[in-house]
Amino acid sequence: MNRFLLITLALLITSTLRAQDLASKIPHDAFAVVNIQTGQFFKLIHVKDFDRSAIGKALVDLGQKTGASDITSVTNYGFDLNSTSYFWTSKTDSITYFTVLIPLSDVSAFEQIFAAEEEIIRQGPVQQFTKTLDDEQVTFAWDNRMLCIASGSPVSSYFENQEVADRYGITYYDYGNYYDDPDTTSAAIDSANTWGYIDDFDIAPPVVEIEAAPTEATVEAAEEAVDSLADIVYEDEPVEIDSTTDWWADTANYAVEAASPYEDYYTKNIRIKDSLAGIWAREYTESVFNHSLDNSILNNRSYLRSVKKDALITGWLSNLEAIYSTLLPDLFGMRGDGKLFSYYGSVYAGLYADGEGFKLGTEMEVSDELARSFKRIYRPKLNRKFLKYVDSDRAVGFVGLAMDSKAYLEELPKLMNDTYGKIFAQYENEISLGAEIVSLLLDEEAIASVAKGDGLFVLNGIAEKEVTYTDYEYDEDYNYKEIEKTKMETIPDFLVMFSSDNVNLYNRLVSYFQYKMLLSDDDGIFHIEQSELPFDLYLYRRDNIVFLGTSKLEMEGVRDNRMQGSISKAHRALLTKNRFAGLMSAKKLSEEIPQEQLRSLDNYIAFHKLFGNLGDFYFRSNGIKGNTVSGEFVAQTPEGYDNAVQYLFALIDYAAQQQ
Amino acid sequence: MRLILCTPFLLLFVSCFQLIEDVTVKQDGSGTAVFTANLSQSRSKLASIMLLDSVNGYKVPSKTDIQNHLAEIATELKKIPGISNVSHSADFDKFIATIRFSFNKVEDLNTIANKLFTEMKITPSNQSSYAYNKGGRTFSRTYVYEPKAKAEFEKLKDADKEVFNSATYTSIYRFDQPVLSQSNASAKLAASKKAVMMQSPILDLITGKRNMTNQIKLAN
Repeated sequence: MNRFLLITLALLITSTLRAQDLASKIPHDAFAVVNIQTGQFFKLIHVKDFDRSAIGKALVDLGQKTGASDITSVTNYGFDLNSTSYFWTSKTDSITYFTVLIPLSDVSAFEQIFAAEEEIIRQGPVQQFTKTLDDEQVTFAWDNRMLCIASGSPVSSYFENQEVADRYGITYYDYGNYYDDPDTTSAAIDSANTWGYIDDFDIAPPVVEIEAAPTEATVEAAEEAVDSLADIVYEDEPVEIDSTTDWWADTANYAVEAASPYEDYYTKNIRIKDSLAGIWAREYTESVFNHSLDNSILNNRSYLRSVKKDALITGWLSNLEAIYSTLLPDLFGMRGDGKLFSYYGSVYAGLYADGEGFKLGTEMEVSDELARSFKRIYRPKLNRKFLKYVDSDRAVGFVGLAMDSKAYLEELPKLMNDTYGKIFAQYENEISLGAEIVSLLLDEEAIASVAKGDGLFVLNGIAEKEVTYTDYEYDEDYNYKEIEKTKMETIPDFLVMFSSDNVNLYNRLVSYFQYKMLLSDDDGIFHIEQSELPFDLYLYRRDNIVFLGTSKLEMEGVRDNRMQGSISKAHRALLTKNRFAGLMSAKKLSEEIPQEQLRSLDNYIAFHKLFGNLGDFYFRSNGIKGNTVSGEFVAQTPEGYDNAVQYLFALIDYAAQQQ
Repeated sequence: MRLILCTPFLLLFVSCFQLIEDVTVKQDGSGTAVFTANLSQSRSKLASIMLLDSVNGYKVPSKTDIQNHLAEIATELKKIPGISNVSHSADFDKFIATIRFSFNKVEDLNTIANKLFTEMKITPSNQSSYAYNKGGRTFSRTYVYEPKAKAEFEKLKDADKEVFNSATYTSIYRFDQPVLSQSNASAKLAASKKAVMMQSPILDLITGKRNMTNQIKLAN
């Protein structure tokens, strides 16, 4: 696609979004955004049908329980179900914000249900209240058009600085001086006091720009906060812990911990930080309402690419590194100069539902370097000769993979060295040396001639097989001897194929294993002599393909060229047009499971109801295009339903009835 | 029931198993005992499981783990006064494990049972015991059903309960003198009258439908 088309596409998407507009409230530096496209959802299931479903009824009941007796439909909550809701995360040096933006269609309905009993603060057209949910202060702010729900999580590292800690009344505990400066006196005092949330003082939120210097106003506010904190800490007389009291005797271990300086500082600091996060989140909601379009996420092309009109939900992550740096900062700190994170760019995911089924599509951008490696590795296509041995009517499932094993073996040591060498810096030399040695020892060409890198696994069903077991025969004096009996058991019936050009090496390997009594020859078909395997396994090679399968009959068919598999068009396309693809037919699998395994009638009915009608599941990945790796998982809708959402709700209703 | 304890993990994944208790008592009260756990009917499933490292969060023991465990039990048995000639075997092709030993007096079997229960931190749910009255020539096997056993069983998940559906317990008591009488109607007397055998579904023992208690009176 040329640049003109790209720009046109971006403009089209942007204009769609601008029409909806709430996305313009998302700041340009949000690192993860989720679009919840309820409009698309209610195109697939009518609101009336949704209200009649188990989930719809539960939602209506919930509203009625909160006192809103006139709620009869999810549309009565006041949310605009035809527009998109958003969730995003953004981060400054001191706080990570989590924000939800929901369009409103009837603000009075919303206020009646959700805000009637709250202490509402009005600031111009915006109203807000704050609630504590799961120990987090969450702000709900709204105007006539939208509801913004925001909470914050403080960034610990920001407070690990003496100046910052002093500013907010936090006791900075320097681990480096743990033994030098044990302030046990104040610890004992602190532990004896009850701390409340410090939400009654005014501290300006940190400026959004990272590493920005505090303003004069912020410092003043912080000083006030410190004073108010000091009041809380010292408002009661300190109480000394009496080691002879019953309390001490009963909870000695706890008390030791509670009296430790660390525990005391820790609890206090967490409370202060959580309170600050609540205050800053409240301030943040105001900025959302005043956010200008120019600074919005709509100027981010990567995000715009992730927006798909027909998706139920889309997710966008600016880059993989953001997850680690924000959510797992400790792990991120270990990265050194490794390229683990820098290999990966933006990640998109979209959940779709249509006539075919549910589709989960994912895409990830990778660096030029990784893209070059992937392109080498995933260059070849699946050997088309494999398809002759697939019978679509019979196959319960299959998985096919096409890669270049030579390229893989050549690229792997390099990637490992680049990725892990710097993470485990102390072993960097060893990892580098190991990668070199692996590369030297392996004859990539020779290995690739034995297994080229493409393979296909076909599950043909679950076969019944007669197996032996040991029982006992008793004589008239109850002396017993072991006897062999037989019974029928179910085993998987599968066939694995992989391309192999080097017949000489194959023959040598076969001869070696025959010599070691691990293979027995039966007219060209080798039986693997491994008693620990729960099924028989046969090996055969023809037309530069190595076959490994459980059915001797099938293997004889391969040998005698009698196999006349008939692969469907769809299955053929799935396997040949992708580098990695698989399919599982839930319906066929449910037919294959012996009825004995579903002993009770309830189990039988439930199993067939749930899975007997289910369509196929498949996944596919076409490797890499440009710098984007993509993959898709599809759960097909069975016949009798217009789309996947309707089927999902029918299943949920069925499950709810069974309870 | 002791061998259940020897292979508790594997029993979670079998659909059918047999436990055999074969005790030979001489006139002086000494004798030999052989305990066998036969999981052969589930050998395909067990062989598959043992190819894995873990299943449903349970670590799958290796052959070596199981062999070591059996060896530990044998070593512990050897330390018990009155117990000798301890040997054990584990056949991983057929999935049959056996422990055999000699005892000086019948009551040593109770010591073994208690020791095994203690080491495995299990409180026996029934007062199962063995006794032999040399003078009166009477061998007693006492099995007192406890409702607690059934209650514990009921707590199991349905899938775990199914393990016991086809499981059987066989007890064989052999003597060097003919049996004059025995009190358990479910038990059968051998043609030679020198052995008594009882077979029962394990489920019936757990639920109290069957009782293994037997008073066996021997000829002088």
